[in-house]
Amino acid sequence: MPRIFDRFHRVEGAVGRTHEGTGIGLALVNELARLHGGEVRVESKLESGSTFTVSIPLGRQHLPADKIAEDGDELAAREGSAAFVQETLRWLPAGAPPAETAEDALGAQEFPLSPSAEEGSVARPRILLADDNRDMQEYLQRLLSRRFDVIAASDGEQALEAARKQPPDLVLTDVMMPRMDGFGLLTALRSHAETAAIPIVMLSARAGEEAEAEGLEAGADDYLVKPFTARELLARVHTHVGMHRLRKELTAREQELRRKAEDAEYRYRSMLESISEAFLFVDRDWRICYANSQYAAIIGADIAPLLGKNLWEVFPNIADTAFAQSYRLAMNQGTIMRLEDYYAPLGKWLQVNAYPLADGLSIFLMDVTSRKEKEQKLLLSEKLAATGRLAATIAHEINNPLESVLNLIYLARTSRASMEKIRGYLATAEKEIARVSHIARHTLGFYRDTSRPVLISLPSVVDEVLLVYETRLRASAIEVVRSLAAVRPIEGLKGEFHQVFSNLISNSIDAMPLGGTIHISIEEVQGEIRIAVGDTGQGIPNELQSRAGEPFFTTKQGSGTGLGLWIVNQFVKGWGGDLQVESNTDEASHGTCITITLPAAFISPLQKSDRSSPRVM
Amino acid sequence: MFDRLAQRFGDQPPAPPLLRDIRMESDDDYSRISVLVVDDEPLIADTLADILQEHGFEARKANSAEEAMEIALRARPDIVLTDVLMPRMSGVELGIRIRAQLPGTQIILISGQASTAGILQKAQDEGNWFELLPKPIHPDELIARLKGLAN
Repeated sequence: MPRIFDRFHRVEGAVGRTHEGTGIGLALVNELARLHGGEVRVESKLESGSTFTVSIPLGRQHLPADKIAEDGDELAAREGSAAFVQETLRWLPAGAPPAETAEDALGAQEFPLSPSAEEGSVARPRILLADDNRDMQEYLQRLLSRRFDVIAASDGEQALEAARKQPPDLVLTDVMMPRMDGFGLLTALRSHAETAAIPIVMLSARAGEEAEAEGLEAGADDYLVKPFTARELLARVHTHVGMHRLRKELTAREQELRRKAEDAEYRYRSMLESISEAFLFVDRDWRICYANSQYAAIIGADIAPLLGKNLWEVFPNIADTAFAQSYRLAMNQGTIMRLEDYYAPLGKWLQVNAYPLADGLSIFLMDVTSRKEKEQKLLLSEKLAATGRLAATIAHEINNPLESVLNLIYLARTSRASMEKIRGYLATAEKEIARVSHIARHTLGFYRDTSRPVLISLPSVVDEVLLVYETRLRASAIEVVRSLAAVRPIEGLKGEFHQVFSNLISNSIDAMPLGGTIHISIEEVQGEIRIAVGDTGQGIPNELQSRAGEPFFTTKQGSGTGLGLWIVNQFVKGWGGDLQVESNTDEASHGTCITITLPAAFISPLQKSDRSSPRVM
Repeated sequence: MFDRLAQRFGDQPPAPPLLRDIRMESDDDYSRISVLVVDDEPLIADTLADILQEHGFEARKANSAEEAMEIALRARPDIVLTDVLMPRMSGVELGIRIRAQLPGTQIILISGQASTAGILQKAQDEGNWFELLPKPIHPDELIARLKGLAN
């Protein structure tokens, strides 16, 4: 009985307000009476009734000055919710409510995270309030509704249903409620993905650290013990709503970034899939990070099992190839490497570009086998065609003396001339036959099997080739100027050098149908051998010069195959040399000059080691 | 003879009325038939001229197309037997020029080089038809050919 004025004390077994009682009503009355310097007394008799007597002194002398308000001031003028809240706040601990209203005190500027209600444009945060006490519910609703949309529920189940229907931005729940209490609601909300992240603030009369710990342990974001100040409640609600919004925003932003990253990744993967080249990326530890399907096609294996594995372990056969050398150079020295080579394990010609990056190596590969095979075939057929052309030239060189010999022998046999004259015919015939055999020996010698490198004297190769073209040179009134310095013999395939000079000289002859001069020079410049074949022909127009050396490109109308210079270039490339085309169509100084530079390494090692009598073919 | 030539060259224009009024004194005497031999190899021109003379032809020789042109205009030979590939002016060009100025002169080309086929084809495409003999050709064959032309 003496405890009935204590806060939150409820009479056990009372039938009137079974669920709703807060145990605050009488405590409020008591405290209000004391604040006015008065008191409340009770007389109660079981089964018959209770009498409450409130006595308050008159006047205001007995009150502290700061508790007195003048008539007609703000407080008195307030109506409705403000008056109610003011009144309710009265029972809160001493010194809590200043003269101004709670709402004013809790100005928007203090809680910048929350969109202000006045703006109205942004959706107001929604708060789900669960409390079975109507007074408390109404009080909290009024307190919160200025800044939030409040949905009220009078027990845990109702609250849970509302939360699942439309997840709020925060749940403010009492602990003790019928049907489902605050902890039940908390557990239920946390167990569903859509509601798990909603901040939950628990309100309870169960004071003490123990209860708070229990609430927080159960997963509440915050725990407010009655009695609490409006300021405290609003501050915490604002904080949690704000934090929740921030989290939601960050999550959305993170998802957006992830989506963008995924889009970008998808884009670059589609790009890498759409290119016709095979693509491989290895990290700095040579682990395979990515390979496109074209790469899978080249190696003839699935990519997935290779990912993350070391390149050298997956392809041990690469180790000793030029590819491995290029990859290492690219990775270790950061230089872009380009390479075209035959890769025996796959039986393919591969063209490789390796681009070093900060975190690894991008490797682009292209299977150029079919192109290479075509080139090889073209090379072979052009070699055969060149052989045929040369054979025709040689035939002419042989046919002329044969004609003379036939005529001379015929004259010797049938002539009625003197024996002396007949002997003259035969002597001339003999000389002509010697000429034929000389030509045959020197020209048909080109096509002896020369798959083995031999020591070659370039000036004598030039002489042999000129012998073949003697008639054509004479027929076109072309003068040949030779400047053949004493270059050291080189080591190589003789047939290739014959063909190179043959093609260049033949081109020059074709360029000068009306006569002219061919300059042939061979010299050693700083250990390199420089060969130049120039003519005084029409020259190749500037715009066509870059195409000289392409297969099937020809400036000879109708008569050229366009393979002559190309095959020369193929040989020069094979020698590791360089070919330059200079041409001029000016009237004063027209002509074309092909310059070939051979690397110093070409000079025979046999020569350098002073071996005696090397075989010169 | 003209039938055979016509057969070989198909729709060639009618052959000029060559050698129509040549009178033969005997089977072996072709002295009234004059032949100009042209070859930039003097030995070939010399020997061919000697052989033709042995067979009774009136033979002249030249070592270039220019020289041949000069002689032809002066001597008006019945037949010009010319090599094809020569400096400055080919046998084909020589043949075309002689035909233009001496419609009565028969032209025979002789060549040992495959590339002459192209030159000849080009001339044919432009309406200039020539008989081509291979080099080397046995003198008996050449004489038979020339006698065939004369008869």
